[in-house]
Amino acid sequence: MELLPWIVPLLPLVGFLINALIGVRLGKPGAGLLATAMLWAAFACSLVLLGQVQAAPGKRLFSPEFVWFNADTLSVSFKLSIDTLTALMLLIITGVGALIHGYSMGYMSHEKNYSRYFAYLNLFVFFMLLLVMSSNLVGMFVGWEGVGLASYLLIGFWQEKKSATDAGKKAFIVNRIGDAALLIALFLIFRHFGTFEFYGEKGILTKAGIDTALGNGYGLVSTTVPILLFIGACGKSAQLPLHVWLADAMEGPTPVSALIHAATMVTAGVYLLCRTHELFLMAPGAMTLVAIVGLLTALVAASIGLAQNDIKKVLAYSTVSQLGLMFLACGSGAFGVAMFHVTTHAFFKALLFLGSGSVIHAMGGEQDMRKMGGLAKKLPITYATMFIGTLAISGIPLLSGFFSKDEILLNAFAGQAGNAFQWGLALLVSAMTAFYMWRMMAKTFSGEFRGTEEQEHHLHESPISMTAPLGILAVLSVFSGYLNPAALKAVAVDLPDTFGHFLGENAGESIAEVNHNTELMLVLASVAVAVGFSLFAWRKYKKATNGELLTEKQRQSGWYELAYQKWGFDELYNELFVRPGKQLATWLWRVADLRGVDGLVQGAGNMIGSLSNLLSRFQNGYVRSYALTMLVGVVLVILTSLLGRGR
Amino acid sequence: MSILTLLILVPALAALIVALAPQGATRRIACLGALLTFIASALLLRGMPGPDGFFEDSIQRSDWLPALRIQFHVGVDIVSTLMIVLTALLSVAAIVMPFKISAGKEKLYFGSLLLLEATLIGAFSSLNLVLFYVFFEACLIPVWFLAGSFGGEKATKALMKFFLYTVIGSLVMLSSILWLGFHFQSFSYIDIQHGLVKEPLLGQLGLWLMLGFAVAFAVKTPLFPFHSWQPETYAACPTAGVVLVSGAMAKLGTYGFWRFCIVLFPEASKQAAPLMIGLAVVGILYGAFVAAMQRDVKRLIAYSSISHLGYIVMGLFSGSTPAISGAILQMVNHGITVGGLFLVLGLIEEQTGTLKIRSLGGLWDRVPLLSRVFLILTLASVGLPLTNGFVGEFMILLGTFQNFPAAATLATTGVIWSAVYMLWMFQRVVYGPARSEQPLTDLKGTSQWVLGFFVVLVFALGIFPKTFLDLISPIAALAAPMENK
Repeated sequence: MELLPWIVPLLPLVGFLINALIGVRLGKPGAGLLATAMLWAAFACSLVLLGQVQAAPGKRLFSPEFVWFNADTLSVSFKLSIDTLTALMLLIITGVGALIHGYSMGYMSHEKNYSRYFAYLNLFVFFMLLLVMSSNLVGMFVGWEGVGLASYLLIGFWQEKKSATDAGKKAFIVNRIGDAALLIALFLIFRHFGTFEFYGEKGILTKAGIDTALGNGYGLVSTTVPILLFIGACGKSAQLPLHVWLADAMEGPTPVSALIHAATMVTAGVYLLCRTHELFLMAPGAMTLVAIVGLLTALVAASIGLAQNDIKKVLAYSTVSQLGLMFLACGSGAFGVAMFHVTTHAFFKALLFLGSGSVIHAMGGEQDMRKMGGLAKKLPITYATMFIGTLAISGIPLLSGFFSKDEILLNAFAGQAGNAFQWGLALLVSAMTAFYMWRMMAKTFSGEFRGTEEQEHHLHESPISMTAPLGILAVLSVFSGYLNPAALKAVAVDLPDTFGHFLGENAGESIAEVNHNTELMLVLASVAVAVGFSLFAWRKYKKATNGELLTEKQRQSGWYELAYQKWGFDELYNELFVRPGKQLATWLWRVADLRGVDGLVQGAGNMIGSLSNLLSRFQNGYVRSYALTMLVGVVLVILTSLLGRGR
Repeated sequence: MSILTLLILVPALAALIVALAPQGATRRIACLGALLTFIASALLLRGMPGPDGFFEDSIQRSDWLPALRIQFHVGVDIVSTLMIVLTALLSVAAIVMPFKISAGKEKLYFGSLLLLEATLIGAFSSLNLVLFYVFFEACLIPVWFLAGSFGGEKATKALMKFFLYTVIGSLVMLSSILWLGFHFQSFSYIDIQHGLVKEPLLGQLGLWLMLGFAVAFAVKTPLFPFHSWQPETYAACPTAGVVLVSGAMAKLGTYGFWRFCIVLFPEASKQAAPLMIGLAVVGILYGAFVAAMQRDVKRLIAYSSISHLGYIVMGLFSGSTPAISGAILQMVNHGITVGGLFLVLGLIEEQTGTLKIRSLGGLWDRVPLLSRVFLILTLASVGLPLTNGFVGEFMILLGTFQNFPAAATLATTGVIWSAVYMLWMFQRVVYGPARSEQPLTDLKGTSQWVLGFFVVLVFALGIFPKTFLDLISPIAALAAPMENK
């Protein structure tokens, strides 16, 4: 079963091809069943692979390779490598992916382009698997660009809507900014390492490879390369200043937001950093930058989340903010912790998005929380599961989010370049998270219904195909934290760190060590903040039957407005880049091209034109003057050749 | 008679027959001629390269004007073979595609396309410099006819520019050719190449001779700032003509750079590399920016070509083997992508009567197959991995980066700009609500087969480029002076 690694990504590819070519004939639910079956099959294969990896020497497997292109010393192959970091991503992608595929069969059941939707979804999974399985940077880049394509297609799935195609285009272009940086990182790496392979002889992540590169002058760019990789990660994982596409991406169908824009694709940046952590650890400057950008993103996005009225926008900014925390963990040297948060976040954020999808489904497409309220009774399962998801993300003790976030906070305090100030800011993010999540829950589920009568009439709980995934994800959101319940050490309950043990060296070692009292203080502070702000928001908003805490006038105040307007990033970029860019391009075309470059030629043309008029009044039309020139040429040839022979 | 001679003669004769045959039969004769040429051209790929890379059984050398040492001397290596197969492929596609032709103009239309094919194949296979010059110039004539008789009002201005640019460029090249011919007492490419290896022309002289060639090719490619004939000419030509002009004739420029500048004058090319790469990079960015603001899809693709061909020129002059291999591969790729795009545009124009971006939109559900093919070609043009656009561009950028990091970095930002102008265009042309109730016909029959074949090529070249790279690499390695020294 050497080929097993290849089977995993090829299953969804086959699903894509079938659905793309004959999906219309498969109809409903055939196309959806096929796509979902491919994902479950891939999940099963991933489980088998997981077993093989743990038994493999060095805990790493390689697939057979297939040379893609080569020239001179350059050789790039399609080749897969699987270690525990990859295996973890495989399980998340295929597992959560399969649940979301199943959910989509219910959610998209009224959609006319049903098979196209599932084709795109399978295509996404194929590229995502390629991204995490490739044994070299170029293969990873293929997946990297490919998930961008799938994201573009799915965001713009409802192509009649201009806002949707705008959002898809924006996502692709902003991502490409990161991709350009990533490409340059690849070129630099090739220049110094002479290979793109991660492992194997002289691989870029091996000691031998790094030593060779240092001998080749890698030291000069050892900070530049990680920074460029990080810029690439900022594009894909929506970090400042490239975060602007993710909120717009909510134009896509909600299951897509759950799968691509919460659980998997946006975590590719974190995966990239963890995969190449050997290069990051050599560059303390780059690490600091990662931590600062991550923390700033977490703060800015959380503050925006406080003021949004669109349920999906709240979740989108929450995702950006949580991703920021993951990068903060990476920057503190705790790559394994970042992956831990990737894992728990995948469960509870997918759950929350799918829950919001269930709400939107029931509301007939309505996403504005100001028109919801009081849905708890009508959507009991959705309510209960989302309640659990919210408990988890807020960091309420003993649920998954508590454990992973606590580790991040600990590392912000005591990890590489960690300090109390950083920890304080991260705690602030945590407080805001609890607040905006419970605000969202209260606005949606409690109080009085604020929608139209017709909407109220149609309110219904979603079908089992949608609620079953919610239930499974809710269970995972509760229990996945016990993979690394380190926070319990503070209260003297020492459970094993299964997760860290599993990842082993693939995600580096966290260096955070604090004494027992400090640890207890940190945990207590984070519990107090999480519980306090959750209760505060929940109770305040529950009392406000109209769902608003602030008066109209208060909402026009500076800070609220700033957060509501998303800190004006879009407007700023429009003024700074889009508008001047268009002006420059128009100027280049209208002035430089048509008058400058072209004008010169026109001028010369006119001159020669009048000259030839003088020479001959009979010769009008260019064919003749052209023929004349050719004739002159031929004469020249003959003359010079005669001269030449005489020599 | 070598198969090459046949390859030039068949389309030329077909053009002649088209001119004499009754109107009704023209399309069939033209299709037959183009198909035969394509099949024969594919046979070239089986050629076995000799020591200097030329396929031994392809060479034919016979006296033409002995007094002037001008011979009919043809022969191909892998690079020219690829260009010839590309030309033949695009010709078949352009001719077979069921475009509507205004009554009474069929002879001119098919005759010109076939003549263009014949002259292009002639130029790609010439091993005598004067013969090359003759074909190089002669391919302007069919373009002239196409633009002149189908372009209407726009054509006059376009043709004037086209004429001036090309003639000035070519005359400069002619002086270089003549100098070489008399210096080496032969116009044979092979003799001159051997001569130059034994006795390299160093310093100023080699540089000026090389630049003499370069000017002509810079116009043909076109390389910034010699490009302004191109958008006008594309706009004036019927779409089938543009398929050949953009897909194949433009490659005569990049092919020329490779064969006559880089291979013949490695030292001078190295000296001129900063200039050429500088112009190429300006062209990459400039073409992309100007493309973004175009209001007509044809002109948009014309400017985007300036950008794409800039990558090829950059790679050729970079002095790095991967970049040169990538550039040669990219010549084929660009021909397929841009040729396919123009075929799609031709069909859209026939359906809707316009290529003005503002008047288009809402095609996705109305012509689903055509729209999906358009999407795939758009993605190929943007250089998405696994399509043909990626590997060549990647190799060019990677290779160039090793010798000219700043230029390659600037050029790499092109991946952003190409996404900007292509996706923005695609959104406005294809997506959105339908503009009218008028029924449109989707791909069917011939058009479906032709474009289906292009889609297959897009992925085949994207996933299995190694087949071609293995053929190209030995030749590319010959022409990478910087690494050898």
